[in-house]
Amino acid sequence: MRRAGRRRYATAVVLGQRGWTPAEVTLTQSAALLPPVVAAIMAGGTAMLGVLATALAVTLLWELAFAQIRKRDLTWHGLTTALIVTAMLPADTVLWQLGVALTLGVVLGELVFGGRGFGFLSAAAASLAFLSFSFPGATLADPGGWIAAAALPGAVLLLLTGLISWRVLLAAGLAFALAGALAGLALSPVEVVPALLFGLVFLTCDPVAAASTNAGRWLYGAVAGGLIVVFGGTGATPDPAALVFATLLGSIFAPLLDHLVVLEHARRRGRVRNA
Amino acid sequence: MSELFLRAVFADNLALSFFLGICTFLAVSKRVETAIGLGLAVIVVQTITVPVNNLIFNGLLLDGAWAWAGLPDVDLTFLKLVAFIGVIAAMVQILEMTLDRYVPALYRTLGIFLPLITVNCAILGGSLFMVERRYDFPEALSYGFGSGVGWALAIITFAAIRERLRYSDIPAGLQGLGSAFLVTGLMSLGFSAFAGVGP
Repeated sequence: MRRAGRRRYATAVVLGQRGWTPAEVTLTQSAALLPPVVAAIMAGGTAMLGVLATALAVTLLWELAFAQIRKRDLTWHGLTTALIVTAMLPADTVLWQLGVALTLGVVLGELVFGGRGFGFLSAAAASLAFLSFSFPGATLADPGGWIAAAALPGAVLLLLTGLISWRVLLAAGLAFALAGALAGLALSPVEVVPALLFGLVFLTCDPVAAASTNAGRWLYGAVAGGLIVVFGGTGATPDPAALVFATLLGSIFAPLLDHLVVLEHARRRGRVRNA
Repeated sequence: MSELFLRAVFADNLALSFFLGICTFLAVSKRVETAIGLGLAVIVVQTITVPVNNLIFNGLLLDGAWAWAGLPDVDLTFLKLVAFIGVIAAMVQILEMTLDRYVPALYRTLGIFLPLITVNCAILGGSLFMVERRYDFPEALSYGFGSGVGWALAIITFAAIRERLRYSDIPAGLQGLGSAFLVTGLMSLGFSAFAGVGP
């Protein structure tokens, strides 16, 4: 394992003072993802198994190919990408389209930059965006209902272990509510919270996709949450594709937000004289 | 008017929807500070040239514009490109002298790319879109400012992403320009979502 991929988080209950290894991160995220994916398969029937198998095969194949060519150890990060994508797709997804979209998302969104943690966006969000942008018939599933309920323990686990930032989650939720109220949408929390929970936790809060300074996380969450309303249409719950594109745009703006936060911090500390 | 402005910034972003001005976009985006400088320069040039070109086109070049002088058959629209490029070149020259006098540091950083704004296709493209879409003067003002802001937003965001990717582990063949093209494509994918918004 490369040391550069290690991250340190404050709440390391089990790990004590040592940081996370990339494998432990993947394992924890996969454990959090398992219940919602099982719920999605139970809801969608055997056709969902085909979606899951395709997603796993494509992501792990590209991971393996890149590991071989670049002479690196195989990381299993693609696992979480495949699980997230599976929970966000309906059972009637065309499998070759899924394969193409995942290839583009995983390779161009993550692997060419050096793998998980080296890029600037979530491979799952990029794949889902490619799918709904490139194939007009392709739709995303609304991961509400049982999937959202099953995602709850995982969300709590990721929040407690510090693998996702509560700041992003809170900022995105607040910005969505505020923007929704400004846009005059009649949103009921009972419908909206389950509809957004899975996507917010596993796409928007993805530590690679999000900003990496605390103030930046608030801003990033606010941008992503606000854009969900902009793209989401006027229905009772926002279109799931809206969350995907809002996350993607949030990730695009995240490095700039971080940069501005660092500049502001430096200016306040008086290190930059002519800023 | 604000709808036209927002459309010019996001959905019709010159850099990410029409891929105009990409040469400068790729070349001057290695550092955020430089990108901000160039972005501001493009906003200034675009906000002035599009409305000025609008006045010139509607007042002098349009078919029948000389009717008041007893020349109703004169149609000078074929001079549009020459006239627009002349206005843009003059604007850039003035901006260059202003920057050299008041912000010499930025002037030196922008280097050759400042005079190259003259042949930046985003600037000429803005004026040509103004003609094609038959904007009146207030619309041209709004569109010029909006399209400049959109281009500036795109290059500043892009520069921030490139600064962050400096610590990434990109294969040798894709380093530099190759990854820059990939990032531009991914940004364009994100901005495509704006196309479905609004009237």
